[in-house]
Amino acid sequence: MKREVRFLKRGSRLVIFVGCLFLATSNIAVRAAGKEGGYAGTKDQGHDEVVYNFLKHFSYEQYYYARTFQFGDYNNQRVDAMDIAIFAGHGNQWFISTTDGGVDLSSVGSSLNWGWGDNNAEFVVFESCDVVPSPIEVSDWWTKWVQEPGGSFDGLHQALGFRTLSWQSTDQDITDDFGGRVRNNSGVWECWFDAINNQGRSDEMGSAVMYPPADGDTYYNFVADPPYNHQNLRVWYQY
Amino acid sequence: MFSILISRRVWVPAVLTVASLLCLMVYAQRPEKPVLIHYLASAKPVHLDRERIQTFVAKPGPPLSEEEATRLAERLSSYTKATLVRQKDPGEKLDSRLLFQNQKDPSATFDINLRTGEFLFNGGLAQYKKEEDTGRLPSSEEAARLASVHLEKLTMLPPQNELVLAHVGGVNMGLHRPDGSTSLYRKLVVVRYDRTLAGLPVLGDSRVVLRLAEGGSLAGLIRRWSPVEGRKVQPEELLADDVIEKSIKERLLAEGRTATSIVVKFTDLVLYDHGNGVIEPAIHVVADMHFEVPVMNGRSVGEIRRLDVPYDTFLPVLKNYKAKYPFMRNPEATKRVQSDQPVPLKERETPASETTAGEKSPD
Repeated sequence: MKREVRFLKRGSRLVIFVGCLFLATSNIAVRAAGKEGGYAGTKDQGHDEVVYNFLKHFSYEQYYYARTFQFGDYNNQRVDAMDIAIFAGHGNQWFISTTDGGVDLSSVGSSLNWGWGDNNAEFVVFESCDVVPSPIEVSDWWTKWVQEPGGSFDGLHQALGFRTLSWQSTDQDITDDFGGRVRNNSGVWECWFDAINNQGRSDEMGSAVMYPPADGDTYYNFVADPPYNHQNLRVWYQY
Repeated sequence: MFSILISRRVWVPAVLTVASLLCLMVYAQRPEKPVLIHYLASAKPVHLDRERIQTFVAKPGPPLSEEEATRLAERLSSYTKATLVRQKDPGEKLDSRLLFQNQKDPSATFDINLRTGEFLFNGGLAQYKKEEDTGRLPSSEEAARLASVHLEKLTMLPPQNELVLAHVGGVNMGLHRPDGSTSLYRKLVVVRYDRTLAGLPVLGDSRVVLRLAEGGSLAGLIRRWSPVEGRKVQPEELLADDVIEKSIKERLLAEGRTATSIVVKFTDLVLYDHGNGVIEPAIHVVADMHFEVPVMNGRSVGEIRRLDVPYDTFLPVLKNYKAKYPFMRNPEATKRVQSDQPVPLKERETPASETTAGEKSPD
């Protein structure tokens, strides 16, 4: 009996060892739990609830009213300290409006802390109008994400948002739907589009830019971080 | 003379400083500029036709059993050749829902609400990620025709008199490669139906959304279309027109407190479908709010960006409404959110090296 138990223990150690070896040699990283952060762009227009409806699906780390330093000079302690960060508030192409001013997302890579992904972040989500333009809006849809210096992609896997308007009557439902799907390990950008289809208006269209090998990432299973200075980008967009 | 010069060096800056401080104090204490609300001609004053308004309640029925839901998942999988397996231990506990997934393709999902029968089915997107167009994608007209064919075959076609073709669009993929070359690929066509009841548009949850792929084959389906029964609303159940008008104005001012101006485009009577098994009459308010936001980083520091922010909301017209309206906020969300201050970087928080393959991301 003891011998059998010992054999089983050895067997389970072997399985764990082989599993670790597989993960170490593959390009897949796995995590049991991550860090989630949410940032509300206004104090009086319900954006806190839009953020909270995502965060409530996790035991989140950060839930703040949005300020510019969280995305720029101190992003290593805020957005880039998280594994997934969500912003809800007003926006425009590569631009978000926080409670203390606007952030030009094409310049955050020039901040003290560089862009996002050099520290920790894999996914950043914008529940805002127009922040992630697609080839329909601008033929050069990639440069402002990956330009050096300035681009916010410094190791980031995916940035999700809308290429169109995002309406306030649906935004709190979209983030709620999305949060549950991310938590259940669905593909990240794929379930962003599912959430928009499931909760959004017929004129709300999502857009997602990503490092191509990270197309297929889930929150808990994802590829190794991209280099900070790549120019390799993919966009998926609804129209 | 020397003493006068010294005293000038002292009193000139002192006077300027005091004057600046006074200006700042006056500026800070100025009364807030009232937000101007403009109503376009399309935003007609509320005047309810009190004799003709209806409200709807979901027809009572037993919830789906797990076996019925599983059979539905199998039927859709078989129809679309998707592979889905019941997820018995999802990351998040599901309330009256079943979830089916595919371990090899994390985009594949069947998620069904047992109480309402509403579901989201995504057959999986892994096969569409190659650098190529999806073959033989249907045209818009053909897609709309094929969508109703699929729904009929699956016996999921809602009553024709409730169906409105809302949108035919799709999903595409673009690439920018390291060598600077770019490509665009057509991937899927999407057909969306919205709902109409008693001559009014139903806004909110009701919808049928189909994703079509090669040759018009079905790749995804969302169906949220609870059968309902209607009844005429008694005039005394409705709020007075002026009360509704007041609630619209109050809501706009509450949400657009920091806007420079608000332009109201529509204040239409619609049916609102948002929870609690009802589809009830409501006013859909659509406006543009204008904000001026200073850029705080990068090359454009100090530049003022004018944001024309679209705004829409729903407001009840029933005195005893049952749907969940956007203005009914979750107090927990506001209770938990925190104000934030920048904290100086500590050494350990300076940019870390990239995560290498197989390495666990810092948690």
